[in-house]
Amino acid sequence: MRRDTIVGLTFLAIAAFFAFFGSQLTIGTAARMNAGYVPVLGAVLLGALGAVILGQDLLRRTPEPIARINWRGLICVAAGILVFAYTLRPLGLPLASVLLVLIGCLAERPIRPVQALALGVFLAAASSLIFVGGIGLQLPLWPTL
Amino acid sequence: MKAPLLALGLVMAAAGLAKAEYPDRPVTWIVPFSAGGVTDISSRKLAEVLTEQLGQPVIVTNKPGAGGLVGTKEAQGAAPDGYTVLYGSSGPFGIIPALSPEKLTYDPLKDFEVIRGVSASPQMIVTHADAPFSTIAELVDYAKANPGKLNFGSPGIGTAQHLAGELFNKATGADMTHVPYKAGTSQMVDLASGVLDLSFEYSPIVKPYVEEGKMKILGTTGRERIATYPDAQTVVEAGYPDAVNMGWTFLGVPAGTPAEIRARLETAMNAVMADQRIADMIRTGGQIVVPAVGETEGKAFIQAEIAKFKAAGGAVSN
Amino acid sequence: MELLDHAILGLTTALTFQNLIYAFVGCLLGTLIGILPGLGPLATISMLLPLTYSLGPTAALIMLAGIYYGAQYGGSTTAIIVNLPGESSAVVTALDGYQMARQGKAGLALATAAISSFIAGTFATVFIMLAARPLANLAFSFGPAEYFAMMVVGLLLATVLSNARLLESVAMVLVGVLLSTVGTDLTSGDERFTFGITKLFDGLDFIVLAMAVFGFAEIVRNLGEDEDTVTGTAKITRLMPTRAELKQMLAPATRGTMLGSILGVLPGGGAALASFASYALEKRVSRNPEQFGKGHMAGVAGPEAANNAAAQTSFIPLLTLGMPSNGVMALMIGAMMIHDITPGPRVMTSDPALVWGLIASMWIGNLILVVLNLPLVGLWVRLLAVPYRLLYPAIMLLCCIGAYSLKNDSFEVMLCAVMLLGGYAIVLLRLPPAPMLMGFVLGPMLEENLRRVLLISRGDFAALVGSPISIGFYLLAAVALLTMALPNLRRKREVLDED
Repeated sequence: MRRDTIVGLTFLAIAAFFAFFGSQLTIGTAARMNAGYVPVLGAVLLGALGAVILGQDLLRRTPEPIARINWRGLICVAAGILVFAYTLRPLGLPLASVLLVLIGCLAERPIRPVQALALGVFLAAASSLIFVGGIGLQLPLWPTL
Repeated sequence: MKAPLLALGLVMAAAGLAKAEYPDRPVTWIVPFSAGGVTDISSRKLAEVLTEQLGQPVIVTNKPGAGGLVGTKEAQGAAPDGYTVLYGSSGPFGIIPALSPEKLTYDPLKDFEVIRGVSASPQMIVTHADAPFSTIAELVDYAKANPGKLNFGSPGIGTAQHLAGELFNKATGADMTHVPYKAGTSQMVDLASGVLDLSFEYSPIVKPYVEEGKMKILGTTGRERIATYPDAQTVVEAGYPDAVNMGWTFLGVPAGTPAEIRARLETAMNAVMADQRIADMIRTGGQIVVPAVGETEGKAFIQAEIAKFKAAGGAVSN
Repeated sequence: MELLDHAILGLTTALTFQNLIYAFVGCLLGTLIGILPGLGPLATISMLLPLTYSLGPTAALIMLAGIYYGAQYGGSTTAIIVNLPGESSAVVTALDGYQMARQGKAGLALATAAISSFIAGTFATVFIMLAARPLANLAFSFGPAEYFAMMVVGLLLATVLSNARLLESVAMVLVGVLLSTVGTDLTSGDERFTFGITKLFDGLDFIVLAMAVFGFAEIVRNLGEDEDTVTGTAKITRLMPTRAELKQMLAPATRGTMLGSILGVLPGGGAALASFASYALEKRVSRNPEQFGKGHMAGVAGPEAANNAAAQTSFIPLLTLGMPSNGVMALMIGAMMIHDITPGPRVMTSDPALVWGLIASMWIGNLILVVLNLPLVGLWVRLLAVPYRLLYPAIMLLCCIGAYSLKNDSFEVMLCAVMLLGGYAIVLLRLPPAPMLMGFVLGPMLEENLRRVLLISRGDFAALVGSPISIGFYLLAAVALLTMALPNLRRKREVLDED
């Protein structure tokens, strides 16, 4: 996969998104700009740049490849964050933290379950003590069932 | 293995059956705005006195977002057991339902019950020190002589300050253009330096500039004169009763809260509002205490306000 | 001399045992939270404000000021150690600071940040005492047209922040501007790109964006590489700067202080602009500009001085006029009002001990922080030696807690996961994130002020160039454009000559 091509395509995609939904807003004129003016204008400029970058790369003979995608890491980190988000209220901070750490630790090979659990418990306790007990952040500690 | 669990279950059931006196644990007071703002500060003082009245801690929780929509929705979804109260205000209960009902995710009239009105704040009509008018009458004359020339600022579209201006426009026939800002500050700077001509702002915000001599007060949008600026003429006195506008607040609970609990809260709040500390806070804030308005009158008032804002709504969009 | 009286009054107020304790506690608390990746001074103060409600007004303000600076120091610390800027002005620190950390110079980077901030704090305090009134009045000469011109310069500078191709930097700035339009449009009240989701009405949060790109995405990337490349910080050189290095810090710090002191007074966005105007300036005057972005000390010294100076001078409009110049100051006003003090010009005469005590306490706060932070440098550096597989879950947790605490809502945490996808793409494609963040911060101000000028002038574009200040900024922008373009031209000519 050629890096610059993907960059160009990405910019074009973002530009298309903002241009499409932006055009559904009132655009107005330069003298009386309305909600859609800046988004559409920005999208057009971005699209132009994306096209230039794409075009330059297609003409290139020695393209730059992209780095390897770390799917495992990406999925584990994203899943960990999401699980934390959805379990914080129902389960409380300590439990949600442990879950986050456990899922996050799945991203590294080899998986060491005992180490992950220990780390999770430690971080859960430390953060509950410092941030809720000590500083007083408004985070739920106990499960609300 | 099962016996201890069973025993635990029995104990919990027994505890639940035992009649508990309300309140028997802390109460959450939701403020749909961020810490440090006017509603937050008032809430904390009110909650402090309410704690004394109820005998249980009343904990202020900030849930800001979308001009009050997020926190109000949160309160609506809470259990109607009296342990969640909401500091309701004119934005989420009056202006948004009137002007942007499509944004609502709750019903302001059906999903909540009013415990007691708390405060009402008129706005001060201010202009910069060297403006060519010094009273409401002079302002209206100037505006009519120069239609479309004057600008007034506000902390955003759909705020009470914005509505005040639009209501004024409608009632007086002045043709002033609204210029929205992100929050009070830059608006005040631009007004003091003459970039803006007018603003309808709350008295604590304009006070430093008036004292410094950078701004002067033309009048107030309330029905009666307020204690902090007794010389400020009201719009009623100037002959424009339709320009009356106030930001109002009340304490509410989710609909379905049992009557005894509501009555308990109402008695407690009446005592809170009668407390000298609260009276002082309200007076220095340029506000007035709302008389003991409860559910029926409260709802009628809210309905009337929504209708009033809707009527001004035609002039709102830029 | 009156100034001396004020200074003495200030010092005697600030140096009482009680107020010293409050200052210390404030600094400590602020540092602790500032260290939470993603939480900067504004979020920290909003969270801790309730703690001060039961104190007296002077004590409360001193503690809040301590929290403010502490959070800034803490934010710079995480920017350097784990590449997580706590607020917009720390983004610039992360650029070179983190690179220095990866080269084993974490100690030096942290010390540079602390010392430059202290230098800035000292100068700024004197500045405030001498020039408070005239500086405050500066704010009144800045209207929407002037701010627009300033933002134009700012966005141009944003492209200078990275060493990537100009086309890509500009594109990233545009991406940032586009992302900033999500939410309720200020001037018209319309919803843009929110698809009916209430919690998006206020737009995307800067911190969520920064965490996704600088924090979580970085973690995913690090996980994909070998242990050795990640903890390149293993080889740690000395912790404290040498005399020569101290000398090197002085010039950038001074320049940064000047920039920050002036820009901090302007309501709205002065501090962010200050730190990366300083970065751009340092890059311009440096003898080896290509080192910027790879760990150049001036890239940390200048911006750190700038944002600390700006943080201090942002108190000026508050103390002299009762006018807040940024979100933090607005919270300070809230704190004052809870104690029944109405901020305004009268406060200086009616309660001089409060005002001068606060100013003196600022300097003392800076002193406390340097004393606190320099020894802590050793602690942070040792933290880096912890194996990454134990460190990254901790960073994840801290970021999530930080994100939740922004609005006490899981929505922001969930957004982090969504933004992570985009953030990882940016990291993978080696696109420059800093211009995007700058575009995100400056874009709204650019649009808001442009539309406001046109609204007030009823569509007359001439209003944009109405004052000497705006014209000055446009000239600056033109000069900046030229100097950016010229080296390219010269290089092309050299290539042609060689043929």
